[in-house]
Amino acid sequence: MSRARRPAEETDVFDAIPPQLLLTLLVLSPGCVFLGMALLWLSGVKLSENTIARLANATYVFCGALVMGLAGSLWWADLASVSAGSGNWYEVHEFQIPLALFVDRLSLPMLGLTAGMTGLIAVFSRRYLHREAGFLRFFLLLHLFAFGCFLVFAAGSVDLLIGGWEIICVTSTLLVAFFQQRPEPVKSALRVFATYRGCDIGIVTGAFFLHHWAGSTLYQSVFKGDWPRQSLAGETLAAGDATIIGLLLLLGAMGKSAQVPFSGWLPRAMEGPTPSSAIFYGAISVHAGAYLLLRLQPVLVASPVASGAVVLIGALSAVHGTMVARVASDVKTSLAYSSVSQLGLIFVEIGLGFSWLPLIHIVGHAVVRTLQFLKAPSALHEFHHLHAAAGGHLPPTGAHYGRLLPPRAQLWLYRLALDRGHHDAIIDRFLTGAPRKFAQWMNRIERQLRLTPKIPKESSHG
Amino acid sequence: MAELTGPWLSLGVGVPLAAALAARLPATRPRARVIAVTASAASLLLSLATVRELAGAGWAALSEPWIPAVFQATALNAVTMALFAALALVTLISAPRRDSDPHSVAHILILMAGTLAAYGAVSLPVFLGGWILGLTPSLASAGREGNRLAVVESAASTLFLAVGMLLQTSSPAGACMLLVLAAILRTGLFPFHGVAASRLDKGPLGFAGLLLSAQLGVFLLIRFALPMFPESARDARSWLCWLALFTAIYTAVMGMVERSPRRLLALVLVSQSAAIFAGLVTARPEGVMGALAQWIVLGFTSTVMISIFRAVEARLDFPLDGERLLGLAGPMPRLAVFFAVSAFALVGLPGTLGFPGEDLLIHGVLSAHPVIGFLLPTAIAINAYHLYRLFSRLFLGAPAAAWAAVPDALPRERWPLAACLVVLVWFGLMPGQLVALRAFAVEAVVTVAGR
Repeated sequence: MSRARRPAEETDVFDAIPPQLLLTLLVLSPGCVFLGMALLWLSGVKLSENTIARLANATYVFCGALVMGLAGSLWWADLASVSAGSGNWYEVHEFQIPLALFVDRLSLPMLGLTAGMTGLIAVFSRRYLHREAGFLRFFLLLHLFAFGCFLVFAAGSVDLLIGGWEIICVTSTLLVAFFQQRPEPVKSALRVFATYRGCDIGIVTGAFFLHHWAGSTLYQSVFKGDWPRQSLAGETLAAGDATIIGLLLLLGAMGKSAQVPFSGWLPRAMEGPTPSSAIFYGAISVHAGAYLLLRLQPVLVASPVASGAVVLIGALSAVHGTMVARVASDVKTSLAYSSVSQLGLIFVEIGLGFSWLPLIHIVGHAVVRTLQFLKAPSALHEFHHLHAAAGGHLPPTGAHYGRLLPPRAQLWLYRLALDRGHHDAIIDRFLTGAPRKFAQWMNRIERQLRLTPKIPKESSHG
Repeated sequence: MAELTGPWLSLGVGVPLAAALAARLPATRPRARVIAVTASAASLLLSLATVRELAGAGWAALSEPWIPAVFQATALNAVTMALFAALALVTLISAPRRDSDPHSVAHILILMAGTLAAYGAVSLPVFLGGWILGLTPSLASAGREGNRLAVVESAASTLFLAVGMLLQTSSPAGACMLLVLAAILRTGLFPFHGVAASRLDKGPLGFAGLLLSAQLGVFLLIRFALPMFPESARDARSWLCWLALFTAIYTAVMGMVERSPRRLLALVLVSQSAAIFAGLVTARPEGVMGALAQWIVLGFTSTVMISIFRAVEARLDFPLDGERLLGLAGPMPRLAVFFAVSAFALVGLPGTLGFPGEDLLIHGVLSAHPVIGFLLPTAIAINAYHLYRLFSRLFLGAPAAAWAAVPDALPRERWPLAACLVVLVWFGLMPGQLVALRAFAVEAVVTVAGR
């Protein structure tokens, strides 16, 4: 927030359209399109594929223009950040939830990435999902997803970020189950939803403790300075408090960014249509966890334990991801675990205190991975093409590192990678298996004590 | 004390009671439905009139003009009465034809009259009268269906309430304990959580859903048990919160092994009711406001989900059971959307009232109990998983060929259910309006419970 780049008396387009308005319009646009299309569908109006696709194109061109306008405004006025707020969304006694949007050098690239990638996916999906029964459903969910992402990246407080975060969770789950007539996508969606919601306990309670100890979840109240040179404002958090909040937020980020041991949902999420895999698990959604940590990095910096945990989880995920990606038998699983690996590296960078490096890594990774996911259906064809061009000798990348290990270790690691580190089995056995066993045991006791009705024999219908 | 301009509360109770009698006389389904819908709509309008007058009087208590000693409109009960009348109206309009026989319709109207009388009661004897009136059809149907658990729960809770009322001057501590026990039984806190499951499993769904949405146990606690016995209630608040949180997580975990959709839904609803109970006994403004908001969310979402259950069962002509995916999203896309939105709203979907409701509730409970309060977000997360599981079972998967021609939401289902969701979305986008509407109720609860 310093001097402007032009003389004070000069007026231009950036003065006519305030950046606060651009930011509000950007967040609301896909939400309004979603709402309008949903209401039309509910009242029985049938939209053609062309109309749906054109509306989507127009929406994301508009959003792209708004992001550029925002960037121009910030640059022209030499501002580090812009916030748009309209007081408290709701307030009870001393507890307030402000309705504040915020954009700075960290969130602007993420907003641009979301607008660009969602627009690209909309263009791609028009042909990819042509005559698919769920064409309208896909675009509805895409708009809702974009709204959720804009809310996450433009939120001025953790409370508002959680709103967008949950919208991403719901749209992701519904898109995994897009091909709902097959049982596998339905099961996979359930797994994805369970992992998301389980890890979201971390972000919800983390937000509570931030509110409780720092008095607010508003970034501008909790932090001082401009990104990337932000730090905690005054004596807002003690090291112990920062550790608890940091670890809880890390749990939330681990779920969204598929870090170990919660990476098992990511290959399952590939049951959805390819464009949704690209936008969710290549471009935007998986990076939301990394964004959360980057956004709240001052909290991590205040706690060596939390920073160390971020580095540790990231390093483990990077190794795990690369191992599993090498033994995966299908291209989408391989890409999914490659994403886990890259996200692990991004976590390491964040934990080590870097700011620009993880941001550049996020943007670069998102773009490359989206391209790979969109090309996944023709990957085999391209591989054969490349193989032939290389004269039939295309060595697997990184194989020489494997050969450095003793043969027994190679075999053991191969088995470990093939079963994806046994993470799913461990979670099923200890995290969900234990309460399930307890419930079975209590159910028997309750029935013996007649505290619950006797369960009738299962009937099969239809 | 200032008065209402008319006997709106007595009329609100009397109209459904008279309609219950009238519905039995003609003995034809269409006429019974018309009578019931008209009576519940009239009752809703009377409740809304009460809310309007109360708001105009600055939310100070208003008595009735001619019979002041029976009913009274307060900040706590007026909105609750309008909510229950609206839920009963939606239940009656959206009921499948086979659930609209004079007998079932009369039961719902009697429940409505009893519950509204209990809400509006100025004293404990009047509350007991409403409580008994509301439970009468439940006892009758539970006895007919052989639902022993429901009969025992109804009889025991009524007994505790009656004896507690008699002991209120001679033994305040004992009376408080009995009233709290009655509230625990009626809410279905551990170990009585199986009663709601048995009601939803065996009884008529619409009626059982309304009985659960009434939250009379919670109302008994905040309207009478806590204000009448502040000393004993203050000691009880902590363990009541722990019990409610334990119930919330316990019923959520028990849902993990539940195969029947009806019982699973019942467990989720009991878990969420326990969360409301926990929020109210924290006596923290944000916890109480969250609980009151979730009360509304639970009422609307459970009514929508139960109405859809009934519609699906009526269309497919068999009770929902087992793990099979029914794949009804194809033939019933609108009902699928209604179900998904209400299910997600119950566990805090942004854009609906569930989001601020859960947020406030979690903040209130965690503020009061930072360690054990962690159980609440965990229980809500597990409930979210259960609700998505229910949605998957009903609406995802490959549908049987015979169900291709099953109709989607009929007009009598579409509009009332859509109206419920509109209310949830409206207050979800503008929660400040609800906060303003319930601020005086929150103040009343915090004052009496936090003494």
